[in-house]
Amino acid sequence: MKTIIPTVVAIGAALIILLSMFIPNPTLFTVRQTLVDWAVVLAALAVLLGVLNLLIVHTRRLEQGERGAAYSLLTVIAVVFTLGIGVAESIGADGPVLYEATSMTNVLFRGIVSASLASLAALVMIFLVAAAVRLMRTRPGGWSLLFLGVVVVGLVGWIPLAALRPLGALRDWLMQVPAAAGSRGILLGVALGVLVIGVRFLMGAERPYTD
Amino acid sequence: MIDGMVSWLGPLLIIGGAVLLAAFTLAVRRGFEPSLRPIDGYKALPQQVARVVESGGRMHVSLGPNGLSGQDAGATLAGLAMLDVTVGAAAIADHPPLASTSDATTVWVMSDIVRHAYEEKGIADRLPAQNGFLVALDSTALAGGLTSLVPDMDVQANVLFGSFGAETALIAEAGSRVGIPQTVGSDQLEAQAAGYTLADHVLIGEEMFAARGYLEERASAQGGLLVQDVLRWAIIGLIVAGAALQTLGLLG
Repeated sequence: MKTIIPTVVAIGAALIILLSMFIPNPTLFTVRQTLVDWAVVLAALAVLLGVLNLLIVHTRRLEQGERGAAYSLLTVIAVVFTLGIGVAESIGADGPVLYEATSMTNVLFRGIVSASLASLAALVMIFLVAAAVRLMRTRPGGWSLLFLGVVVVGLVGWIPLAALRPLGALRDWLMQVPAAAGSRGILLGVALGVLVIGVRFLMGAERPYTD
Repeated sequence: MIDGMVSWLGPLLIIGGAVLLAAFTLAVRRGFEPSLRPIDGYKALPQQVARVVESGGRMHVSLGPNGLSGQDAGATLAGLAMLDVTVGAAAIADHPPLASTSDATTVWVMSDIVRHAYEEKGIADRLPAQNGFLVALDSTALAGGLTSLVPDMDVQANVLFGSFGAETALIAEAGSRVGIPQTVGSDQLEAQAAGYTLADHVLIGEEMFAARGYLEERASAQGGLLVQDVLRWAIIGLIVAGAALQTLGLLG
């Protein structure tokens, strides 16, 4: 029974939502809307519990004095401080203040969160190019050479110099023909994989919930 | 005509897929053995688990930023299947496996899967209090967090399995600095490219959805692989037929 009930609930909900996508029936649509609303509430609760989970993990790391405990202390302070500011400002303004440019929450978000994420994203590019070069040492061969060649053409092709115009044209061709064809093939494969795992879920063969 | 066909394609694929899955599952149960092409990522995974068990370190499986609802739910289901298989095997190691995500809904299902794996092995008493980590609420922040989690927590094998993007490079770079084997599976092209340069094994396209079929001998999972193959050939046929009809000017 412990296995049957979650399976029936999951498959039932999935079928109702799926059918409502294909059959324009007002009752099905209402049921679907209710299920989606419940999911939104559950997701919001999950975020709250997730923040608690984060705090518990880092508090435990602090207590046990694990490696990198200083970062855990910083995380706990940042979470408590940001949460406190956000709640206080929202109560004061009688609504969410994240998108108000003058609020402290917005300043924290733009000044720390967005800036940190942007710098991390910038590092990605450097790591990728370095890794492409390192590939020649770790996995020398024709495919690695081809990969590195395409990376070089792709990067140099962006430089707006008249002398490099043929490389720009080559880059455009690479992006529009072989890269587009390859990526469409991969994406079709991904879509097939998603379809099959979805069907397996609908038939109760894939059960991420246990009991 | 084409528009009419497209609106029916979704239900047709789902119903056809379900019928094919039932038929192939039955065939596998009755003794049909599908011949699977070797996929390096899955072939190496048992060795990675063995390395974790022998070294006394940990296995890390990250499910990325994707959640249980929305367009990337398929990647989440594939990641949870992978977690189920790897945690089941790595639960006997000295240290519990680490499972991480940046989605608040996935973290609870993940914890449940880890708990279930320990209960199935009869070692529920060794179940860690914390078995699913919500590292951040954003994919780039998750990658930033994992760059310290991987070296600090004595991770001996790293599996990234979800809707990761280019930020995979940050995580895989951290793993390659400590010299651990890494497997990347993502439904995003950027992650597949990053994985190709930095990870030992990368799963391309639909390969990430084949974890159960390759790592478990479950009839329905192997039936699913056969369905993928049949549908792939059907799509190839449709593309070729469409190109031919277009060339002949018969599609209008």
